[in-house]
Amino acid sequence: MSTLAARLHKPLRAGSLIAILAIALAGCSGSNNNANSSPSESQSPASSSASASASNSASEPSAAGGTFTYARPASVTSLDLHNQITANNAFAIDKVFEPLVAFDSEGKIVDWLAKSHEISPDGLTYTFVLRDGLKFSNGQEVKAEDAVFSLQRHLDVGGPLAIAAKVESLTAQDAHTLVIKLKEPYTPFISELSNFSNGILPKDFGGVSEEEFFKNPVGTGPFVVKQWDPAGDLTFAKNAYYWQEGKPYIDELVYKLVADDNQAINQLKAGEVDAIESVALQNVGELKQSQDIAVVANGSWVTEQLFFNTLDEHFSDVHVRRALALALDRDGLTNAVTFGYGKAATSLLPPAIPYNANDKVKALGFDTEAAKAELAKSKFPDGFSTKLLIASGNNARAQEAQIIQAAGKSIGIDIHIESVEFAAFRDRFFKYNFSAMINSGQADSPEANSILAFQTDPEGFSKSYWTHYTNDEVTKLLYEGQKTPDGDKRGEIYVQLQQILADEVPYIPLYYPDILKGVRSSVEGLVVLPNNSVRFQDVRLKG
Amino acid sequence: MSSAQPELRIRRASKLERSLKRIWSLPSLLWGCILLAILIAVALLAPIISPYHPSEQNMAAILQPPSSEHWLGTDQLGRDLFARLIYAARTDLKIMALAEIVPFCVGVFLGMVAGYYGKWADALITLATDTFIAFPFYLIVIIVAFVSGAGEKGIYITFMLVGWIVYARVVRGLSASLRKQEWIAAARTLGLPNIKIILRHLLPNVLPQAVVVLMTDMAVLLVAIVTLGYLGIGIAPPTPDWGTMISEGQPFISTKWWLSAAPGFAVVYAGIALSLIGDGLADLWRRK
Repeated sequence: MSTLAARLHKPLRAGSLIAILAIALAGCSGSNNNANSSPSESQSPASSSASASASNSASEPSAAGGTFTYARPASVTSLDLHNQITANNAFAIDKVFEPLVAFDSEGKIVDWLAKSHEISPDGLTYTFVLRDGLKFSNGQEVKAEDAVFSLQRHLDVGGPLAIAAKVESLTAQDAHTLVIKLKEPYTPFISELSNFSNGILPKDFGGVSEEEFFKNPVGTGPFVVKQWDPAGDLTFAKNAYYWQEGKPYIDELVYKLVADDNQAINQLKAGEVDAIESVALQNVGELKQSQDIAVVANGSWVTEQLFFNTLDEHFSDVHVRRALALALDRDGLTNAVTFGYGKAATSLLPPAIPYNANDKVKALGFDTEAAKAELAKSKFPDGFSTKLLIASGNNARAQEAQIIQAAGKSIGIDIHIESVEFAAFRDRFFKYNFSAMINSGQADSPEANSILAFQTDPEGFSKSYWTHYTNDEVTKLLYEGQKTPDGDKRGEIYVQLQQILADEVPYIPLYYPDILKGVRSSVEGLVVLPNNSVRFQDVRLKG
Repeated sequence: MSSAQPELRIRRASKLERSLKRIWSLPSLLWGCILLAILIAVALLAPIISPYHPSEQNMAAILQPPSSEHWLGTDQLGRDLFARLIYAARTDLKIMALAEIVPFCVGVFLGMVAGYYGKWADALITLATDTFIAFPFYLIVIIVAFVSGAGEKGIYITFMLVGWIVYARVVRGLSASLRKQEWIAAARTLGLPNIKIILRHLLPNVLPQAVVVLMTDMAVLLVAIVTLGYLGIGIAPPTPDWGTMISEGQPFISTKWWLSAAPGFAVVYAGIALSLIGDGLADLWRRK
């Protein structure tokens, strides 16, 4: 042992290494926290405009002008409205192009580029009259044939938000009147027209090539593209010909790429940006601490859910699914993960969507004893072991998973949480390679059919949101709802449909998260839309 | 034999006495042992110390600040943070200790083989260690942990694959120099089989140095376990672990800093205890 002379390490080397690492770990940012909550997830975001929380403090005249900087987690890569779906592009497209109709915060359709619209009693003919003196950002007048061209291109392209109605013809009846004829009634059509993908552009792209047009697009929206780096920032200038007189008040709008959530928060605090697009629920507390920052919230079109693979050995048993729903305290879960910025869900449709039935549908409430009794009726009365798939890097989902795990444990279901990175997560559920998973469903437009079709049609692209839930009664109601004109009868159909879903539980609606934006207090008139977009035309910057 | 025993006992006693004296003269070793003993005691006595179960949720009392009821407050799911902290010590220290066994044995053995035999055995083992060392430690750890799947099993597999290298390198150098010593040559001349020389003569001489490395490496391994937990590919919930605790507290770092700071402090504490012991042992054996 006397040969041990060499001193191989310095004192406390490991100790100091640990200290450094511990600090680095804690300081290191959770940049992924919000990456998955972008509304592009398998369902699409959609855009259009609606006044959601217009907080314009009325008459007090603020100085017009100035530049508004908006921090966003992803850059704008394309402005081709018919081929895009993800939030990073959608919420830039809707600043340049606008549709004929839009929606307000209750999901009511309002006329936008059209000054009026009319639907024939048989639901087959739609007539739109354009606003007087409506101009594109190049000063040219907007005519009905521009609208025909725009919608025709959307029909031809198809794309991720393809027009679902069976369109027979698009006609420019006169310079300002557009007539759309359908082959069969499709009630969601008017609402789907409010989508950003049904924006109006000049006929034949104003005479330039497609490629050129979308590099420097011309629309009727409040802003035009001034400078654009597809891998970085985008600067908009105000559209001098905007139809809402005097608006927008600001001269310039900058979409600044700030990929990291924590960095975005720091820049907002420092006043380097005026607002941030992506605020995770758990970061609200931090933002509200600052006096210079306000958190603007609005109800969303999103429903956070626990999905079951109905082809799974255990979850194919309806009693098992019901038992887990009964064992789960949805109010407690909502409280723990949304910090008051969300509402516990009992039915599938979020409150910001017409025909939501949170108060009419009787869901399986929190009752552990009833849950045990329900499980006793199943093929697995003594419980079983299963896996819950989640995407890693999302704090809220990780917490939800642990609450579900505890609920399962209370009735003898042993749930192992499988946390995989986002690409693997998507890949897994697309292939039905899961037993249960946490994910969210989102509407494309303020239309019940949007979420319902995506989550109940076993033959559709999404196979009932990859649960493979199949119920002929539900499918019948779904098609009935699409053909029934808006009104009480349509409402009854959707209550009935959602009640069946609540009883058979192919998925457990957990909560409806709010949309949150962090905004400097110096900003007035920012309108947050339920699709996660923002309207800037009413924005004023104080001092 | 029987007549030799009393003499032996006296010698042993005096040796123990000397060792104790030496420990007193080595504050780093002494303090390291005290700190570690406290930590292990707290971990073992966790159910007695804390009235709460670490995974017992209470949605009605989330994110509470420290109080007399909850010494370190509660986390996002209303679980008692102090209970989680000390139960996490159980998890992390247990895995740390178990995950070191195989790498330690394999590393020391391969190191001795490489150093003693030299030639192709040395070339092969050196090639393997050099290849591993060419990659950043955490890159390998994260890749292996990812492939072998999250959870405790993945951690064991990961460190079985990468943990032996540090021992093999140290022991190899030491064995190579010992091989040239006369007493090894003498043993070989006497016709002792190589395996016996390695186990009986080489091993006791390389072991102290290996143990010193073990202490340092345990601290590194603990941080690695915590890091994997932090990244979400370590210990799976609901089992408490310092790494997942740090990551779960991170969104509240500016409003409820103790959620991340408490487990962070625990890691630093354990690391310091282990490094002090490692340093103390090195000093102890060097002075002799």
